[in-house]
Amino acid sequence: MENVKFIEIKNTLTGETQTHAIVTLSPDSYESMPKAEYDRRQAEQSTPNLAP
Amino acid sequence: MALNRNGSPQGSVSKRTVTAKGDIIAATANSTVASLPVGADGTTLVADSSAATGLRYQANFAAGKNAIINGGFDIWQRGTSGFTTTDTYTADRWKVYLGGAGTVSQDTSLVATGSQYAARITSNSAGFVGGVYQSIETSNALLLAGKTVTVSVLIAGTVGKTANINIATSTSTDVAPFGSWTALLDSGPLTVSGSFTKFSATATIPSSAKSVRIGIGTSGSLASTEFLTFDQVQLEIGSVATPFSRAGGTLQGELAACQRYYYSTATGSDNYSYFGIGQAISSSAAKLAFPFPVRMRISPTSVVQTGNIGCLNSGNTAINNGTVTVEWSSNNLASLNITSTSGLTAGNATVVEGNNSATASLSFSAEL
Repeated sequence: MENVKFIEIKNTLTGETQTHAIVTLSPDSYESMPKAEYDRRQAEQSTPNLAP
Repeated sequence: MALNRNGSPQGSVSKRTVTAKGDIIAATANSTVASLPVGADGTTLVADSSAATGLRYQANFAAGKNAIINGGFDIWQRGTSGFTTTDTYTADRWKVYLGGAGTVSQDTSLVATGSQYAARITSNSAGFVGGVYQSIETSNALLLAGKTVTVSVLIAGTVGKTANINIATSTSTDVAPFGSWTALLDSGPLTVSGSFTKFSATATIPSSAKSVRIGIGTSGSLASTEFLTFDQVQLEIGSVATPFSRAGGTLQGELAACQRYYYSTATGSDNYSYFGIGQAISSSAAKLAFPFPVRMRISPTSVVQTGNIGCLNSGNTAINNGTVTVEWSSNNLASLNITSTSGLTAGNATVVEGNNSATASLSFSAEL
């Protein structure tokens, strides 16, 4: 199971708060994205469709 | 009308001048002609004043004929080894499928003439199958629709093992390498040796195709430590495999073509590489406008941070680590938030840089 945490960042200009997913890729690396993008990727995960 | 002894009009050229299909008649001097034998398949006729006829056939190295980006495996922004997870990008634009334990790495020992690198896929288990795949985005794939195309690739590897060339198409737009495809062609087993052999396959792309994918991989399975190495992959319009040329024409052109899909800052020459000058918006957060060197295919929605990256504090005495996220992005730049840092003064400028980290880098993807 991937190591993911969520953080909230407030846009000081607009006042809006956005939730970001922080996905740990390795001890030295992580990928951050808006939670909506994280949710989209989770939904799209599928079995590779490869020719033999 | 004056006639030659053979009955032809004087001054006319005898049809006996040419002797084979494709020969052309060219002048070698004033009122003097000779036959120029047809060139090899796929070659191009060019002017050459040093040739007797002033003409010469040469191999076609035209830039842009190759629809495969990074076909020579020149660009490895994600690293050069350790790709052991299926469905991940390896060399730029190439995604790997690993059926069993295996790995993809940059090959520097077994490379084709004219190349500096190749891509090697190595089995780490019995019964391993795998390959590398590249899908061509719709704006480029449409140029291939309805056309006869030829894929060519140099392959070497464990002697006697077999490889396969796969062409697949889709009527959908910008399909990812492991999305939904319809197989158009499988070359079948191509037996490899310890040195490079050029293999090719030809097919006609359906006129309805909006996406095209090329796959180069195993045909039969590989045992542990067995491998295949690929180099100089080319997809071109026509039924003849011509000499390889980079899609981007030059190394810098190829890099720019790759960076349309993925950009990673190179790890710095020291442990404090600069990423840019941002502005503190609080004591613990800053913003940084981060331009991309090439307009990307789409606006990247995520950023990969490797190593420690932080902001220089207001006293210019310490760099405090932060967390980098994308606030918003366009094809041209990303507005980055650096949060969870400290020691900043809102409104001040701050240097965003690596913090004693040799691996510090930021990466953005606009891949299919």
